[in-house]
Amino acid sequence: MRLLVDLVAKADAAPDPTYHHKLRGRIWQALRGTPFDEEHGNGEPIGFVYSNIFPWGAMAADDERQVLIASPREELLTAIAEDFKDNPAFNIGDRPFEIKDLRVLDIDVGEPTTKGTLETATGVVVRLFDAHREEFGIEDDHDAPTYWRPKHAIQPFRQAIADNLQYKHERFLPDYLPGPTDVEGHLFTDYELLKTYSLPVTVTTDVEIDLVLSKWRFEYCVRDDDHRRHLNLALDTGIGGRNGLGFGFLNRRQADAH
Amino acid sequence: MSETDTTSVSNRSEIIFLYDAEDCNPNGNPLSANNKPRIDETTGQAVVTDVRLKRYLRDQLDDDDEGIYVRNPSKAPYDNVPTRDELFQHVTGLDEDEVDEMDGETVTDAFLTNATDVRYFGATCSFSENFQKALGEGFPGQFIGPVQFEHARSLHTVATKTESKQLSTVVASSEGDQQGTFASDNRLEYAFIRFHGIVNEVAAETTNLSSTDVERLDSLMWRALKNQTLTRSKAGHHPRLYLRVEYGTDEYHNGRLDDGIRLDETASKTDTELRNITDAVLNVDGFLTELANDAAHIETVYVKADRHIKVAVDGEVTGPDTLIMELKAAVGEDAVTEIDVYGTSE
Repeated sequence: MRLLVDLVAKADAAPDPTYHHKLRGRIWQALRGTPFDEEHGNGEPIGFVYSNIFPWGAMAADDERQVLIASPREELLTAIAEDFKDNPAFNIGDRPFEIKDLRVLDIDVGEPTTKGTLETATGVVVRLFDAHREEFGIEDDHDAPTYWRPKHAIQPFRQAIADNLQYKHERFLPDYLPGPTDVEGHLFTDYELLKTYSLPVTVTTDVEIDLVLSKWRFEYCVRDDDHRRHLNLALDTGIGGRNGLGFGFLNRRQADAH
Repeated sequence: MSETDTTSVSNRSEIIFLYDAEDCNPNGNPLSANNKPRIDETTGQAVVTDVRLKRYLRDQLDDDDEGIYVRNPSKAPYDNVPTRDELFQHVTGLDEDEVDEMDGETVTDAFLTNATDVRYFGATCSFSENFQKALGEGFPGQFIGPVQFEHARSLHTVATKTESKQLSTVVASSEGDQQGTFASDNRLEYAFIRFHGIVNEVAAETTNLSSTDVERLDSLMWRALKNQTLTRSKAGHHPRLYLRVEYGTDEYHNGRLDDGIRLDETASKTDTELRNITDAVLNVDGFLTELANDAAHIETVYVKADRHIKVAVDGEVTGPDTLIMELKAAVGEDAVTEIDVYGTSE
């Protein structure tokens, strides 16, 4: 489920590539005083991901922009929506906006046999853990986290995002339903890497790290109901890590909308 | 526009359709405050009207590019609620002048050929005076639908979900009708719903319902529950068991087959503890007995069972494979056909 937020710019401002933690701050501000506030910083994914403020680029006062917030937890989106309705000021760093409207979008990849394309609207953070490094023979002789890079080839990326989604599946969906690594077959039929880049990101107050990010276009063909649920979960939670900072946000290509 | 064969269906069918609903509102009552779920106050069971089910089916037909007459204003590509004249013209592609030049029988055929939902569920056709005149006297004012469902009830008493009861309206969306908004809502913790319906071959003659239409129902109902319940208040619906018993004997049907499927009191959790499909076990003993008694009248049992259902047969809890086996034992190996909803041999 997604919340589409219509914004109006209140001043001229340049684009801000370091918006991630500022936008996250506005969302957590909305959750203050709600039961979700207690989950802040507990190390578990809370289960939301968001797009950048689009269209990207410099803005002038009165320009219209939008942002999407996705989550598999309806109550969480409801809590955010309640705050957005009561407090329409939406200031992201030096970019002041006002919330004009909110809408709920129900996104679905389609029924079994449907083919389509998902694209990452924000960069994907994929961390390769020890199990992945061992399985795929990736040698890294320092203690820093290993982020996926093209030199590691596609297999570890594919495995790491499936493992990550499995973890979210176990957290947000009923136990009796099989997750992405419980079934045969990959999430996507084609993984097209568009680009990789690194970005300094403020992950917590005063802590900035360089994340290695990649942008992708994924083709899919829905195999069955399980696969449909896995892909819809990826749309709700984002793929890879650091979703709470907005990374890994997926969009279904408009041409595939039906 | 859809095409259909003109041969009316000749066999009667009895349909039993079970689906469950987790943390959602299976059928809001628009006359109540905050669209409360319909509940039979005497028995405590959830109620879902046939109109709700038909709306899912019509919306799925629309998504499948089958022509439909009774369109959903929130899905149709127009801003204002259209008149019945406009609905007629939209589904047939005929304007008033063209209608005027055709005789009543030809217009009726054109209408039924294109309006798939009318072939199933019938329609009342009251048009403006001028349009009525153009249609001529040969065009019936009403089509009785050969496919009829009773109101469905849950197999157990239901509990209203309390956490989200007091949700205030937080969004005033200009496109709220299209996308759904956060508003006050009431939900049920869980409801296992059982629908019962009849395909009447006698009434089928008046709407040209074909055997292709009836076969389409077998996947349409399953897919409609999967695809038309993605909105906020309906997310959480899952089709669990579909059975269409097609009779070979003219004008015969059992009529009580649905009563033979109930929650197994011993193997299921208590009504207040039910939360998802793993808590429920269907007892099908009564159904299998009725089926065996009627085996001589039955031509084919079409079945689609979700792999998550649990079934109690003779006191033993088993899965859908055993149900299929027991169906074959009741009516004969060749008289049971498993439905491949997506044509993928799932």
